Amino acid sequence: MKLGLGLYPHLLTQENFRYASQVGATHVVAHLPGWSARGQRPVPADQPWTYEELLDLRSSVNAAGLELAAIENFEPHHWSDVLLDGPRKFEQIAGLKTIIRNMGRAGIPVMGYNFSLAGVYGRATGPWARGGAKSVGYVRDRAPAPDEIPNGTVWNMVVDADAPPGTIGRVSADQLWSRFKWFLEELVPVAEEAGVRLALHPDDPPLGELRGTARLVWKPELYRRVFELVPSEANMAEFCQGTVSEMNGDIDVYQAIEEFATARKIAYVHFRNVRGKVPDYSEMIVDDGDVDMVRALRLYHKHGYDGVLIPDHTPGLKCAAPWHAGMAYAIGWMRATIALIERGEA
Amino acid sequence: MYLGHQMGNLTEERLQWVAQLGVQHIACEDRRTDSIENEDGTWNIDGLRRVQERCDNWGIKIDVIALNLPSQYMTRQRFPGIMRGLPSRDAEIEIIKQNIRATGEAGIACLKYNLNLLGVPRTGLTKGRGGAMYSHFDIEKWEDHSLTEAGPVSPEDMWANIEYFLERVVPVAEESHVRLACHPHDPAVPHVGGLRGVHCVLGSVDGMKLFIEIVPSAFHGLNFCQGTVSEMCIDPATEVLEAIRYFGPRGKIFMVHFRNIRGGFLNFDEVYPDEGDVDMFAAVNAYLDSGANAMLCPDHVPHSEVDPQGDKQFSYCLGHTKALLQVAHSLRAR
Repeated sequence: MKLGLGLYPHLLTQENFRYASQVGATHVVAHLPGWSARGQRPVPADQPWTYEELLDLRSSVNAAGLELAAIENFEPHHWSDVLLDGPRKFEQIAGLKTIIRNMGRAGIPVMGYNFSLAGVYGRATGPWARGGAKSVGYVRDRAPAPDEIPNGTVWNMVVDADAPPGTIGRVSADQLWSRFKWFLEELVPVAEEAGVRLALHPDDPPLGELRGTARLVWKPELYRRVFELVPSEANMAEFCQGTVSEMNGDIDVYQAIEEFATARKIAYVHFRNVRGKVPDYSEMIVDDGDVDMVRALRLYHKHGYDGVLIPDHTPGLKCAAPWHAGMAYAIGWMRATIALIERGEA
Repeated sequence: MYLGHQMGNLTEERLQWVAQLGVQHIACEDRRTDSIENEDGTWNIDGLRRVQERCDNWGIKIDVIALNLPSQYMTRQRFPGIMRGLPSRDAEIEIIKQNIRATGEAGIACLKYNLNLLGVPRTGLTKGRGGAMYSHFDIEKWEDHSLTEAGPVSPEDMWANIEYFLERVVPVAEESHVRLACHPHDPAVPHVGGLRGVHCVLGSVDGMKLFIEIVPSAFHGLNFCQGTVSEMCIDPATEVLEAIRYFGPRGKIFMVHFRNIRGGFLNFDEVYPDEGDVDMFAAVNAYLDSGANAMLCPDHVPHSEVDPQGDKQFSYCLGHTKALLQVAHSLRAR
């Protein structure tokens, strides 16, 4: 198994690549929404990422001695109407195909995405992790009213500031799955040809419905339906172990790891710990939640998973470098445990 | 064995940071924030109680506190007479005895200290992972062969000063129920000739074995710096484990500096725990097998321009150590 670090656009710097190497990471996952908004990319956010841009990104990661394992998340502007079944969906799906082809050419093997309308919504922040570390979670009593999603918004981001007043209304599970099926049928063949794997993130918070809209994978077993919908080696999971452990499903997080690792359906892993389950949970420091993380790593290894794991989120620590120190602790823990498991000592 | 950390600065922020990292035991090197140390070097109980209470609020216990006998060059020592055999040493030892009694009265179980003349000599830095810089020592690169202010210090001279000190303080430690944890000499230097004329007798495993026999007492033992012990060895991978198996069952490991090196006697780099010559998991198991029950503290960490305060490096080392402990304990619980 390989250790990676997920980096947001403002963290995609040589300085952070050096930090990643120092703490023993060998791979980077680039989380790209916001790339344009931050001015790092001088074109509007709805423009597909070009081959040159992607190659530059990969080269800068490689120059630091690291591999670019995946890109995480399209810009909402890239595919808002694919999610909303809007009039621009044909134009947008063509843009997504361009992105996947460009990734293939640039040698970036995985595209992580989250097919979600409400996105990561309604979570609260509080000093809930060990030592009062700042953590995020979903707390039923503190969740905002699940108002319907305003027009022009998807994934918690405004994609059309000029949208007419009103909301997108209710979206049923049947509607959502039908949109998703179309998306996969269009994109999977392109991904297969480009040698890129599409990796679906589950819905966080994993509620069956949020803001009047259905959610796709809010129980672990729903991944089966995803893989059956368009069977392909390019149709995989961005297996957010944290989100899966927040779910109330027929199978638990350990069974989910076993099943989807065995089926070779895990493209990469978000390795984080959680206390509680939906509708009351919060994110914990890696060795301090409900999940036996050593057991989880043993299961990935036992069932043949040999891909990348990133810590995903980690509570911020009280020091000059809250995010980096939190990640460093998680990666130190993971590196030691993975080495012992792979040596047969744990 | 359990996770620990050495803290030179006990602000509330630093305490919260280590609590977040799961640290519940520390070695306190900060005698200033809570005014533990008086101007004359004696310690006051109120300060000791205050710092314990502050730590307790974070679920942290002070296992160890540092005597003012650091790993510093002789001219920078507050109490230079002890290791140089100067006339001032009797007065200095009286202060140390008072520190021990105060520590016992405050209910802190252990004091760590050094019997040091040369500080911690190194010969530069080696570029490592991600551009991190590793402290490096290579005797071939050592250039200053002048005698120190102490002149030639033979092994006999040094042993005499060590014995003089131990014979006076260990009985007080016994009365006070405070364990004294001595750090070995970092690095080991040539056994014949020494470095700058100073023979570092606590710079070999044999020297450490002699040291623990000087005053037979359960309160006399080691701040077992695994990194320094590695620096004494031709083959650290095997000899370090042997050393743990020697000192552990004798009850002499009071705390551990848990760090790794690449190389060995007279030529080494201080590297990350996962890339050195010593198998750190084998070391954890050796401690557990030997019956030791002490803190594993990260000690020196690599230097990094992207981490001037070292928070990231220490967080990494603590996470790494925590995992080794967690796995070792869980396998034993089966």
